[in-house]
Amino acid sequence: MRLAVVAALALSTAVFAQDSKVAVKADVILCHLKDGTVEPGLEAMQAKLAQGKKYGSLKRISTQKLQLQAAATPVALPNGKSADVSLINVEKDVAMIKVKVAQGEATLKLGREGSLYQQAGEWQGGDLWLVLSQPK
Amino acid sequence: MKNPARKTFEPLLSPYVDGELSPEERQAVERHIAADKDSAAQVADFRAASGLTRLSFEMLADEQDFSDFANQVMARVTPQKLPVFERIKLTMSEMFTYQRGTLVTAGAFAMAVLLTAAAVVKLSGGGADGYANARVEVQTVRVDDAKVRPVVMETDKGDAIIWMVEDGAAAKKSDDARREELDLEPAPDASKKAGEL
Repeated sequence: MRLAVVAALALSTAVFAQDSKVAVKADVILCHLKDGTVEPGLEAMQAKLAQGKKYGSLKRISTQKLQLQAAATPVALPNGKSADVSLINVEKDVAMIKVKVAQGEATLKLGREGSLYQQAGEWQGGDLWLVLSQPK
Repeated sequence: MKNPARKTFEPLLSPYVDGELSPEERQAVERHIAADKDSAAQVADFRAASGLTRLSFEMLADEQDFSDFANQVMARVTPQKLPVFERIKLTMSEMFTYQRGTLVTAGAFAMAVLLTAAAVVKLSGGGADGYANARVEVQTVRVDDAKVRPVVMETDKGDAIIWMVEDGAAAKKSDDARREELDLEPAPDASKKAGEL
């Protein structure tokens, strides 16, 4: 009994002592202006980006779940470069993160609604987009 | 003719009937009664009166309802109820005095259970850490490439879109500089393609 209590306390302490992490889903999407196919699930993105560019084809290159922390987590891009995503802080359960791509960087607060669409470079004549959203 | 001893024994007759005499006195009174008829008659009267008295008290007692007697007595002797705070204080005091070990163990166990549950919730990500904000909010944008400028758009669904738009003037300046290096004519203004920013 005492051993179980001590073990539970130790486990809990270890869990709470670890660095805070924030989970994010990262998708890399390749978009072309020329008409083509839009992968299922990317129609909404096509519509949202239409206010800037009317992409005719959208293809998901990769999707992964990241556990963000202070150290940057790289997201590989097919053009040989990478986007680095890191956690700046979490205040009142609001995570502030930094997204660094080849052309610059941005800081933002994550939200329950919506996603971040970050233009992340070019590849094969199209635009690469990094999409960060809350994992479902 | 009266027995002269009767005067001595007469005061002892009633206590004799009531059983209040010592054994020696009782034996002396019994010897006197056996010899004196008047005293024997008086003893008989006393016994009859005592029997009647007992009988009348028994009849009175039978008329009374004693079914809830014990409860009524206990209700009267129950001490006055203490105020709630005093009762809690007294209970806690007794628990800490006589059940300290049990209390400490129970407290530690409860704390361990709570911490474990919180740890499990934290590990499972049930709290959706970091997503308390209603929507994505871009705070700062910085570009390292002088030929592009950031354009931030927000949608009514809570999205944030960061475009890296080629800065026309900067791009042209850079292109002209490159052309000068190559001794070429300056390039005309690039017109945007249909569907582009």
